[in-house]
Amino acid sequence: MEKILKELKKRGLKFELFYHSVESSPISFEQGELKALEVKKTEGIGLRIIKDGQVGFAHSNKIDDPEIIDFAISSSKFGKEATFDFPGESPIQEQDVYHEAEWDPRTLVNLGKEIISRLQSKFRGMKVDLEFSKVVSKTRILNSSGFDKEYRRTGYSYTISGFSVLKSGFTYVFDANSSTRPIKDFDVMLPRIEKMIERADKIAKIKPGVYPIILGPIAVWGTLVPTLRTGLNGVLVYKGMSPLTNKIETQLFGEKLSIVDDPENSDLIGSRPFDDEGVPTFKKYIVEKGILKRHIHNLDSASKLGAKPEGNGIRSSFSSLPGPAFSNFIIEAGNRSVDEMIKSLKKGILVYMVIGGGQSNIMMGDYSVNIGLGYYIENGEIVGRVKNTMIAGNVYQDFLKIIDISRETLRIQNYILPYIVLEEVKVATK
Amino acid sequence: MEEILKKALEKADGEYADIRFEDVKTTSVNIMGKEIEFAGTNKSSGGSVRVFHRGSIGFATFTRPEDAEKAVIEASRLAKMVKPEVETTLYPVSPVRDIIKPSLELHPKEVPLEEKVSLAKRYNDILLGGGDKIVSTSTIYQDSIQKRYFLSTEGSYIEEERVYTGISGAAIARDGTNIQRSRKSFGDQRGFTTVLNREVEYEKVVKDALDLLKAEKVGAGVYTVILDPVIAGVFIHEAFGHLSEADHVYRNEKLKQIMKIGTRFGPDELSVVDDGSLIGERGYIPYDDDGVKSQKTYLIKNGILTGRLHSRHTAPLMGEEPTGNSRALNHTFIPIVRMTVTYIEPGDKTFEELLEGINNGLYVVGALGGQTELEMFTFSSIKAYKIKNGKLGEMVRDVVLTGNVFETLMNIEGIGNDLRLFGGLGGCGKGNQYPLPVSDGAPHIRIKNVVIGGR
Repeated sequence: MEKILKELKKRGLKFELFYHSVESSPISFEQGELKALEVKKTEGIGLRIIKDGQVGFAHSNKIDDPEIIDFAISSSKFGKEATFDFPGESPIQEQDVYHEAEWDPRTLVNLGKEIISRLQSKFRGMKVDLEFSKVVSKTRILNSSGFDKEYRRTGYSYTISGFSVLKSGFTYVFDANSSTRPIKDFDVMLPRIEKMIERADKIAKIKPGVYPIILGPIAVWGTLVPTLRTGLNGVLVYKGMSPLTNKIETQLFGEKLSIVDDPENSDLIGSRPFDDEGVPTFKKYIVEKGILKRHIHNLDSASKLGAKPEGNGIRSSFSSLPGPAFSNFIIEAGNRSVDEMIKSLKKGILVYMVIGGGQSNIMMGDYSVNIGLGYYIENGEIVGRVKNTMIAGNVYQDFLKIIDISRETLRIQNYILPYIVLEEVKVATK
Repeated sequence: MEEILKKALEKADGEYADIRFEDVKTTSVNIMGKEIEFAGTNKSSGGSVRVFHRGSIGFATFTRPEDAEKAVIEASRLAKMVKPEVETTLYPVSPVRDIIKPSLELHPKEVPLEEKVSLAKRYNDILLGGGDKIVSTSTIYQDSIQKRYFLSTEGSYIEEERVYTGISGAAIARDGTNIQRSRKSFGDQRGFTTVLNREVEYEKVVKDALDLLKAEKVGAGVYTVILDPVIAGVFIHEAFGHLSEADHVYRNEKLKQIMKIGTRFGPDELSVVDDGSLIGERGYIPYDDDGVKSQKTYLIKNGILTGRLHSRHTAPLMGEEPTGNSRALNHTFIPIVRMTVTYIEPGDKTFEELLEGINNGLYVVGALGGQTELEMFTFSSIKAYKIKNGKLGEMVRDVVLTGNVFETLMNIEGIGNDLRLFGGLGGCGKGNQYPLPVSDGAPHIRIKNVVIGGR
């Protein structure tokens, strides 16, 4: 990288050099069989320059080849107008996100086999996909304004999905967890999955209509999350494509809903001391008691809208440009348990998994999804599984009437999501 | 390159090992609405090692060729770490030595970036030209010039230059809460000429998006439909093709019974093919990532299931032969069984003959998206036209086709003579390997009893 830096300084360019390396060692089982043991290493740089008032970008995994500068310059000829400069040195709070721990494939293969055989002995013929993964990454940013900082981070995760044929039909379940620290809570995960499947044993007949709905964390992920990720995106806001353009300080959702961007939680894999543009990060409310507090910005969108950049310029890899995104997307937990929520409903549906998200107009808040796994509740009890049933509506309307938010949450990637009870949701069924 | 990788491979400890290495140069232009989001060129390179030991696979990636040796040692260690439950062997093949270069009329490397930008802008301007109701557009140009190397401990050495070029354009029209979109993409391995002279096509895209705003919603029900070659191609790839991938089949007893060779799957006129050897198509591969030559494989011939897609790994597990379908998205992934160019062979009917006798039907055009879950499929089309008394009528929107693939194949009652293949810019997803370049296609197909739901 030194060679490239020297050349950049020699040419007197405004620049930002983003270095990222990732080493991952996934252990994956497919349909119950160990697929392979892998070690993957990638590293590379993304170079942004500002030349003649325009932004140019190039990336490469040859981190010593100054040719990248020419590619960035030729890209700048067609680039966006630079309405920002790269940030300089500023006080940065270190984050405790690097936790080296032993990673022994043999132990994990045995653990995987145990989990799979436990599920298969309970649910005959169940097809289980399971992946354990450890990721070690290093991020370094240098720019022409004098910023030069780096941090390392670990990420441990598992994802598991099971497919089985029950009396009530095909059943697909999914569970996941990620942390910067090794994960050990498999004795929580297994009963959670087993309960989901056991409850799905018989079918409950329901009539179409409007019902109170308990959306489980995965269903919240399939409805509310995609809408907010696009709606809050500062770039889409300044392009006039987001419905949240003039909505700051307005009541967007029910009072019980608070959403936090928290880069300081040392357990979460999205935590970081500064974002991928060198802007310091900090914990903040995005939605507080249902009121929209801010949009999410990168340097570009903040400058276009006259907002302050707040450490949300995030890249998916060295090869992509930074876009506005959450470090960690957290919906604050409530104080009711899921069991209490179920008990409180005279008639309603607990929706655990949804199918077909993303085919409707997400940006405007529309959702229309099939209930992949969900249960009908009558007089406070789960009476059976619902099949061939869809829920449809609009996030910006339906989440205005929130009855409750659960104590229990699920951590999926860099999200923490609870169960949410909505007062009225349209349910269609055959 | 050959020497250094060959030397690294000598350190392999296992029955079999191979190295793949690629050097990729990608140029892209990405326009959204009125703004160019990005235009430029990037390079990347890297490789990976795969080691087989008694059915276990060890896999390690590396960036620079001089690090290949370390990765070979690492992959060998991983392959030996865990004893497999079932010992398997790779299907034996003879070593290959080959160097492949494409012959392109116009190589994208000979076209300056300026010209690629102005071409994308020209198409994007056509899309924007639809007036106030066009709220956004997306136009993407992309070429990818790939130098690929494959070496195995069996003595194979394959060196290939592969060049993809493509363009895609989409228009989104809005009237109040009614939002409609239309898009078209063109992409293959024929060079820069593929993306030229598409003005008329993008005029049609913007017209469709606007016409769709005025179109009526389709009435839900059961129809006789004619699928155009685009959506028929997506149907055969998504709903049927994936079920022909041996890695899905061999571990799934139920699917194994369903996908039994010799079973009738459709009428006599129906033949379905996967053919990776079609030079110039987006899904063309001279060899797969096991180093096996690509070939034409009949999945269905004259209505009978006759074959499926295999790698060297899956073929012996089912007592069948490799078909050249082992593919990885790039060097960071282990190859798995994938499609290449998948299509329905042409029949003898003209479009007019297919229309004959349909009193209440739909002509379904273009594909927007879809989802399949085992034998069930759901696809949405870009647009459709009513068919009344054998004639095309007005445009309708929000058409979603749904059903069971096996029933639907049996319900095919006419196959056109007008096969077309499509590549585009995207590709196929499986596991987390997306987008893999593939082509699919079909002639016009007439199917009875298709369930249409509104969106």
